[in-house]
Amino acid sequence: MLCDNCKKKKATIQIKEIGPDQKIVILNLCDECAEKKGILIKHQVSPIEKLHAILTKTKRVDLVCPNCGLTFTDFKKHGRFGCSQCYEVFRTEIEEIIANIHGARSHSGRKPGQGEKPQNQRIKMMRLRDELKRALEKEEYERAAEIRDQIRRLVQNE
Amino acid sequence: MSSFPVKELPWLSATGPESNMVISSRVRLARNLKAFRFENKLSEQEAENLLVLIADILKSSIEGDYLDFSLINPTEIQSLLECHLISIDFATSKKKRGLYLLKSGDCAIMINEEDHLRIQALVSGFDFESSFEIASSVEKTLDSQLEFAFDETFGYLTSCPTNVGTGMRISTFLHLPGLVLTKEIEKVLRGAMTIGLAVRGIFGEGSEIRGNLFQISNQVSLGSSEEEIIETLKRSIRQIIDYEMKARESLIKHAPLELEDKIFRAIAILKSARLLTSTESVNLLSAVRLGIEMEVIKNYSLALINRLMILTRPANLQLYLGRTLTPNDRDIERAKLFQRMLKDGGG
Repeated sequence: MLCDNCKKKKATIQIKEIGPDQKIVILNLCDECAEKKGILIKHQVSPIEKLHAILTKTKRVDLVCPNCGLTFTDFKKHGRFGCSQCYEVFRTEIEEIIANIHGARSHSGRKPGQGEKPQNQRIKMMRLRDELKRALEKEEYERAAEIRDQIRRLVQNE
Repeated sequence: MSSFPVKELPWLSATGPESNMVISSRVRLARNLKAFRFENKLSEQEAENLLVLIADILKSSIEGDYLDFSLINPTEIQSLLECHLISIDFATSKKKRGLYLLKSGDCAIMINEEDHLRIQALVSGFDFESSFEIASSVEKTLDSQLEFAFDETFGYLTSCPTNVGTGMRISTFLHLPGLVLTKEIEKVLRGAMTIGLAVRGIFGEGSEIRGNLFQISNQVSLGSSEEEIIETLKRSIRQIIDYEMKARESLIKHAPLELEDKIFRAIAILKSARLLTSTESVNLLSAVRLGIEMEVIKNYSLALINRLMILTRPANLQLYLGRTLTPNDRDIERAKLFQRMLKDGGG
């Protein structure tokens, strides 16, 4: 018997539906059309299918980068990361994407120089000053005092 | 500002290798600082901090000019774009951004483009080695002061995953009139695209070709070293140059008179037209350039043609003449400038 829906493939499942006029309608469908109609075909689930299901499930829970707030959905939409930590947070998700783009999985070019980076202190100071400004704007004086102490310590250490 | 339009651009000098087909070679390195979020998540204050930080380091270590984009006008920004010193995205961005232009004129560093840093070196002719060395040396100076975002597996981390790894994109600016005239160009460019290279016309919008000028670049930045990326692109460019050479030989052999006619007509129009649009002049300049490259004409230099090609673009023309011009006025002034510069072999 051919599938009532696509009329091409062999029907493998018979379903009974109650039509709009309350009469019972019998449909013979192939696997594919049944799935399209949202009918679950029960069969033995292999371990690999289970794993796949787990992975698809985890992907549905949107990952968020704690540093910049970018979600994986945002990334998929715009194709841009929000900070360097995103690469760490989404590592498993993006490994394949990156391999697809570049036809390679890992870097083999130059690397940054090791050793102390003199500007790190200054960057820290810039950040603290911004935080101090924000705290004062919000009238969080206790927090502002804390930041001021941190700035003092940083200046003394220089 | 006195630095506009940028006067001495080494990439226009036509002194590099294979300058009769390859106008310039560019190397661009994308870098981000570990301590700052990427451009799309960067606050205005952070963007400002980053600008100050980078500009200070550059000013104190490499001779050059810093241009704060909140202080220069739209025509000046357009002029930098016409000089190929900034990207279209950078020109139109609303972010706080700045450009550091080395005094040597062969390297420009965009701060707060899509990545915190886009270091690009642009030199005359077919010479990626020199442009890489220049960009690399600026990168090293910054690397000694700042911590770049880097991952052992993914390499240098960039805002867009298409740039990770070396963060390097390299391109050449090719003049291929022979292949266009012999109608071989599509075949050659399609071939380049199938081996993973990006090809685009230089002055045209979208797929339109103007002045027979093409930009060819690598698209993949992860998995190969900087040297390998350069070697691979060089091999492909070398092949395109060979095809162009054959096409030019075939033109000389089969249609010498038609070729000369095209070249001399172009000179005649450029020297005597009273109205010249930007598109028309770029196309005519291509014919004159071909004449010089093939030694059909000897009284003009390639450097002059390169300079005219950039100087007669709308924003540069206005800055050169020191006044704002309507499009129609520009066509009049452009024609006058060509008359003047091409009289008696330029100068």
